[in-house]
Amino acid sequence: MSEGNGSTDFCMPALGADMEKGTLLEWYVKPGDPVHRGQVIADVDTEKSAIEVEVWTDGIVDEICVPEGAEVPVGTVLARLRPAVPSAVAPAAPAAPAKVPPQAAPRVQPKVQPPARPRVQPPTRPAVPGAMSAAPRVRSSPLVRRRAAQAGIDLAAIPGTGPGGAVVSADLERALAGTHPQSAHQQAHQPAPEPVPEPAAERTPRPRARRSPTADGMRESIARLMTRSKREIPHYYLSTTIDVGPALAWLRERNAGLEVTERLLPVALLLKATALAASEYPDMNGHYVDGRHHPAPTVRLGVPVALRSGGLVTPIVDAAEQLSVFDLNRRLRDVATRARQGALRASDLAEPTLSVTNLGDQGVEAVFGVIYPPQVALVGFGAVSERPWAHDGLLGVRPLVTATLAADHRVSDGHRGGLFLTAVAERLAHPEEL
Amino acid sequence: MNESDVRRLLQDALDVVAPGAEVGTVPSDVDLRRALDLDSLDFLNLIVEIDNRMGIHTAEVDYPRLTTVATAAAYLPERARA
Repeated sequence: MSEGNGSTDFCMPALGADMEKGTLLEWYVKPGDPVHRGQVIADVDTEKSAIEVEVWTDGIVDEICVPEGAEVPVGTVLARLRPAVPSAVAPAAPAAPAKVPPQAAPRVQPKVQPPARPRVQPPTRPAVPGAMSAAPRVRSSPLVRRRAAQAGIDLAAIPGTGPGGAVVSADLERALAGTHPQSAHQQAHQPAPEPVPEPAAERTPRPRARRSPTADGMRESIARLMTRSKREIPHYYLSTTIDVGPALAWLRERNAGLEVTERLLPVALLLKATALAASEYPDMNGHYVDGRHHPAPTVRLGVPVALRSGGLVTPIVDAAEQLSVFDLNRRLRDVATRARQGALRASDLAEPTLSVTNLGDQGVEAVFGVIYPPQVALVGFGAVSERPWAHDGLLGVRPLVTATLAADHRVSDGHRGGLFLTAVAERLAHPEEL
Repeated sequence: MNESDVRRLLQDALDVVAPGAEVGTVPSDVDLRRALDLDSLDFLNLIVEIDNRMGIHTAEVDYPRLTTVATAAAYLPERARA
């Protein structure tokens, strides 16, 4: 965003290091609408997913510069905002009376959030004046709306079974199967999931029909970024095995008295331990730009989330070293859930300073990651599994996890990396201090 | 509450927490998490959703009883009566 003669440009944001262009899917505001810091004002489609984009200044929409459906490079001015006139004199403001309906003000939710933590709980999207005049807005994710639009289906005609009556993908699929004559034809081209998998096959293939239209774009985007990483970053890799018995015992004890929604996931402990260790080892946390490392003042963890439709997105947990494990757990559930719903916001994707990949749920023992440029390290956790372990001269069976580090040799050496990984292990040995 | 009721309940809950996951494709004794590619977060959300619909509070030690259709068909009616 840039400013000149009092107006502010709202530009196509870079939603990830690999994004070069984006498509403006939908505007939620029109000229004359007042906007507030943190308000979602547009949906943008990247090669990875549809993202809700917030505005970070208060003001009034002066001009929409890019129409819905247009694909533009990162940095393109999407809209111009002008400063809001002070509310005390608003009714008398003569500047552009035609564009500023004074009655528009009540639609905007006044500062519903503490300004200190805008990323954690952005305000709910205010009603869209334009949409209100026609019909009540149908609740659904940007992804579902887009797919419905592509299929030429009116979302309002689909009964929603999601939270609050939201139209979810499954509803759309049902509608497509039932009412759209083309769908049967389309599905015939895709291998339908077997009604019952072969007994030998442990794993049912992902239903192909769920593959999103952006899957190919996402694959290209991942390929571009990972190729750049392997070309530019001299990786080194370390691995260590950690006894997470104490951490899991502490977790079980804490969870016993908690509501299901508040229960901690083991991954929250792994992330917190990593964030604390990273705050001690700045050479693992930051960005390598213009030939040198820029350590970051706080730890903004990137947590890759696999999407059901294939590919992944990497939302952030900001200032993870300062969050309690409970707040971190809550934030993680929130972003992971929204990532899968295609309802991430631009601020959820702000540049992470260190990424942590957790393939534990897939059952693999260790993951040796590829660093996301311009980050300088990536921590990986495999599955927690019970394995033989020698402790105090005795052989026992303990829950173990293999933690790995891929780090950038331009910034650190194996010695520093080893100390860092050991610090992660030490943090996990004292879960009550996490 | 028989097995087909349990399948319907699981499907309704999964439609919310993991749209696209079809319980109908999974044999009764196969781990749903593996068959439907549910991670720990999806599984936790599934338990939350079952709680929302049935008022069944599942303790962490009972999570394994919701991992297959067969174990859930034994567990849920038992808890629903309790």
